[in-house]
Amino acid sequence: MSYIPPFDAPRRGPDLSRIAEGLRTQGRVIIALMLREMRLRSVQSRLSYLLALLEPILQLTMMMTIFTFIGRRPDFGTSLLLFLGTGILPFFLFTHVSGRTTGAIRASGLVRALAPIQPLDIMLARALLETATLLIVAILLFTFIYATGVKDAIPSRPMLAIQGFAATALLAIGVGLINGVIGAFFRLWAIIYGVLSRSLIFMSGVFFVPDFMPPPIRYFLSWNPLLHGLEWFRSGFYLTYPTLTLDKSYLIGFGLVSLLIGLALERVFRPRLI
Amino acid sequence: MMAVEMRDIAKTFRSARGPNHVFEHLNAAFPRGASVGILGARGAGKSTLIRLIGGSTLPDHGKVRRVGSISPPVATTQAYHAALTGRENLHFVARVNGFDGDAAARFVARFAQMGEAIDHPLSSYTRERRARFLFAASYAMPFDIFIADEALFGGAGVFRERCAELVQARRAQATLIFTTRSPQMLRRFADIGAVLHEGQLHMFDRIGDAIRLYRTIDDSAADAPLEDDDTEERYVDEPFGPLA
Repeated sequence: MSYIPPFDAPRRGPDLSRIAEGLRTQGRVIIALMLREMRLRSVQSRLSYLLALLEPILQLTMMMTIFTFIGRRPDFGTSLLLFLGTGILPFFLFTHVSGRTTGAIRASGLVRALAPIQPLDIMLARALLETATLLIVAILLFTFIYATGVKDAIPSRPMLAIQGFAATALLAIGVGLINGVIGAFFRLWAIIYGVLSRSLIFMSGVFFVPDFMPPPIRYFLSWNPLLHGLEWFRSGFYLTYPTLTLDKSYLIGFGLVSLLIGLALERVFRPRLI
Repeated sequence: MMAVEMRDIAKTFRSARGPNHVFEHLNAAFPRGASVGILGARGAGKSTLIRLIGGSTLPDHGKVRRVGSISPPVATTQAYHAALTGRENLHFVARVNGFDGDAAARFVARFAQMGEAIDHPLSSYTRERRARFLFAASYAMPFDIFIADEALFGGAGVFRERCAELVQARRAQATLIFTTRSPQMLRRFADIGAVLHEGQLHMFDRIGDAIRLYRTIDDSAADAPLEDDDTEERYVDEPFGPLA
């Protein structure tokens, strides 16, 4: 492809001040896009953003009701609520961030409306806003679980939980960028990806502890990067959580590679992203 | 010092009726601080040229070099969202470009005499208010380069006159590049005249030379009336953003 982009700065070699200037512009643009997006979510109803925050809590309550009804015991620890909560949160982080980035470019209607806005900024703004939303959801969710009387809901090793959250977010943003480019060409991708990513709930260890699975199944499951994010996050809450399957470098490597693929795709297809 | 330089631009639109080569080897340079008026017949590629300069269309080949910040084409609505208020939309555009959103909103409210309407969603604006908002908002921020495709100023009555004065004021402070089919507009707003014909841009230091060339190319243009009325309508009818 012989595409050469328009450039806005004076013709000089790349030096640090230009890179800093570029990053400042990009930061400004992404923050502006995030604020706009946040405002637009509460346009139809003032409750809609609140509902987005409460959705995981509602879903967790539903699951709890069903599981209590069939008399299921938690695979680990004493509280089924906490066990499911620590599983569902990284899962939601991944599906929401990577899923919502899929339609970001078209939904914004802003591609090349203003010279400083690039398609990458639109995708990143949405991914980062969704990550920030899920961070608030996490705080709400674990406060809620704590309030129901589960004292373990405050992570015993908070750094592990934060690292797990960050690594899962990296994975989600990387996959989200790839999705964003595919979604710009192929509308149905949002639906297909939605179904695929939701089915991951059964393979990511939300309902079970991977280390308690038979080795052949464990090996098969270990290819799923999201499972490692879940393990990592959960190990921050339980002191004795078994982490034999957990491979942190696999998760981070997978995240970085998808981020690079996503950035490369955006760069190659930038002239055609609408 | 050039504000915008275009080197060896090629742009082809492909449709069912075959490819339409709008530009094949276009070269152009627009000096900083000057106002360039571009004359061109229907279908000469005026809109494509403005979109290439503004970056809303990317060239298939070649480079566009811009020095400084560039406004979206005057009175375009793409960056605005119908569900957001005038103030929120202005803040968004200002924030993206690194300008002062409060100052822009104050300016638009005062200049377009919008009063409290600046805090109402754009979708609730009447036709006249919408036109006023769009034109005032286009000139509310201190861009280095302003671009316009046909619609340079608009509105009705007294506002229209004040809007034309505003364009003159901005022209003194910044680079202005606009297209038109009306020689009168060129005389009124341009320092440099240009004619876009068969994929090439011919520039003249004297406006008269540009108009003479344009008249030899396009006979019908000779007696053409001032057409900004009809082009203004075209822009005002466009709905705001994706929700409208």
